Amino acid sequence: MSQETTFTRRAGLALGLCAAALPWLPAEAAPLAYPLAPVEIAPRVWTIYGAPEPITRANGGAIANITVLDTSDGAVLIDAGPSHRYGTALKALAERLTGKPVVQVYLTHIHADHVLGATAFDPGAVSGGPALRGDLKRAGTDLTNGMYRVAGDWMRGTGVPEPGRVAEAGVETIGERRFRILPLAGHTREDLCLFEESSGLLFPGDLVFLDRAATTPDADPERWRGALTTLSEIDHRLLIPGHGPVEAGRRGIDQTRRWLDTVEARIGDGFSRGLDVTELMAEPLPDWTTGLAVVRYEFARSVMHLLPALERRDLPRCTQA
Amino acid sequence: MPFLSPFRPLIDRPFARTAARSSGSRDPLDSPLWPTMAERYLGGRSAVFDDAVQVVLPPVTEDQTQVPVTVDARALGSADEVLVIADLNPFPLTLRLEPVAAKPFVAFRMKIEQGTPIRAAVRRGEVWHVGGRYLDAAGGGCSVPPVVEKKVDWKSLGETRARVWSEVDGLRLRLRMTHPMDTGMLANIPLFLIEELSVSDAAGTVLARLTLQEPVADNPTLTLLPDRPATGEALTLNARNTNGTTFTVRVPIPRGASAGQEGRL
Repeated sequence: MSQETTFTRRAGLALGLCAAALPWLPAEAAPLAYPLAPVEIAPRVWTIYGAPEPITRANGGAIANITVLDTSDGAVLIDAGPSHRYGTALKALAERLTGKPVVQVYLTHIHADHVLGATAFDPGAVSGGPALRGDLKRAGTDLTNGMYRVAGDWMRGTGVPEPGRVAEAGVETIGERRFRILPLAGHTREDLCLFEESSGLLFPGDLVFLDRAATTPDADPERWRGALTTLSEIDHRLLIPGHGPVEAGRRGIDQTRRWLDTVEARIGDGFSRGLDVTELMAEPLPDWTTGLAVVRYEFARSVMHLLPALERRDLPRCTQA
Repeated sequence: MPFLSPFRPLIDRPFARTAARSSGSRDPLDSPLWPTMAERYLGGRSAVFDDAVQVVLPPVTEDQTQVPVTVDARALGSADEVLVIADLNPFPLTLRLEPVAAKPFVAFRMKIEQGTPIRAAVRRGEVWHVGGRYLDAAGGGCSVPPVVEKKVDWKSLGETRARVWSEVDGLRLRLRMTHPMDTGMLANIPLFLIEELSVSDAAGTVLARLTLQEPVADNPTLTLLPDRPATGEALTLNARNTNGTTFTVRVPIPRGASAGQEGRL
């Protein structure tokens, strides 16, 4: 009897050890690594393209475009990616590409796919709009919670960034480059756009999507259209959208505006015909949108974002009988 | 394995998920709680899983406090009762609809605690027809799950916005009531719900009767498909909350002339 018990305990101990060791094995065997592939879009400027997809466990949230600019003072980044792991890889890549440390990281807006990599950098070198720091303090934990759920282990070690610097409207000179800061809004309540005057590169953040449907969880379509008008008046040489290919010209600006118009018109039409959320999600979209990535998914999300406001405001008020 | 068998009558094919049939008695969602749900809410009547009962959900949960759900059992024709059940919610029973003179259809918004099967059980006589889908919890896209900072609009408590559309085969009613749906689970906030809601014609005949439960989202927003009453130019909505306050409003029915033009095609 006691012999048996001993065996059981030993077996149990051995099993316990194995169980404790197991979780480490896959991590050691195949650590998750973002395959960052920089594309030189202009002399000494590289963009790492985001996948034209929703955030998934397969892409680790690497869906936004991130750009590295070389300056005589050091590397400058536009956005930091979706996780600490991404930020760490991005930092190493920027140092390798430029041969200099990262002196400035500009965060365009609060969404997870753009900001959560910022924890890999010295907070004093991380800049955002005036409200970003406070917004991250308030909503940052929800942001990381959501990302841990969706992207899983890619997020390991990711916390809430605390940008140490505010980028005010005006021009910031770093080395030979001059960054004009444009505080705009519409995609979120604060979208920081940058125009690098020496190269003519325009960074509108997520105010411009190209060949991918724009996202609207925090959108104010009216302000967004106003911001697009402001952007279209800037005489740029190359536009780097938050998501989608880098191009000369204003195709991204026009396409984003057209998508917003289409989404609002479809939702307004469905509302006036009495459709509820899931019914409206299934409505057809115009043919021109078939060229965009994740169209149905983003349209469905936009219905959830925008229809409730119409119901609250535009359903006729009934008088108590 | 043996302890599972009373829950799963068709245990002979435990892994045959892909071989799901259009109707049967085995839970296509494989939820361990379903037998308990059936016992608690289906009153001992038999149940079949039936594709004629559709639960339509969004492709992603943006806001766990306002998940849009549509239950559509029009393929069954008429029905006596429709239940919506979320297996893994603290209060699984979400809503009960008696479509007295209405289609077995309801669209609404609900709160979820976590990822859960969302079921619709539609009773025709002595048989429940059950459909459902799994709803994943929030997180996705580049959205921030909303910080729970609930605002109650006390000044317009009970304010009802509603509109009726004429459709080819009846009416479509959409309504939104300004009212919290407090579950009583948060500290110092007692249960406070719209509990009952009915739709009647001008003569007072009930067309649809709803019982709303805790999981229904704040400011209940509903779509129903009542039959066109023979007479009268308006529908009457009667609601009662857990404090016993009643709210009654009239919603005009558009003239027959616009039927088919204005309606959903």
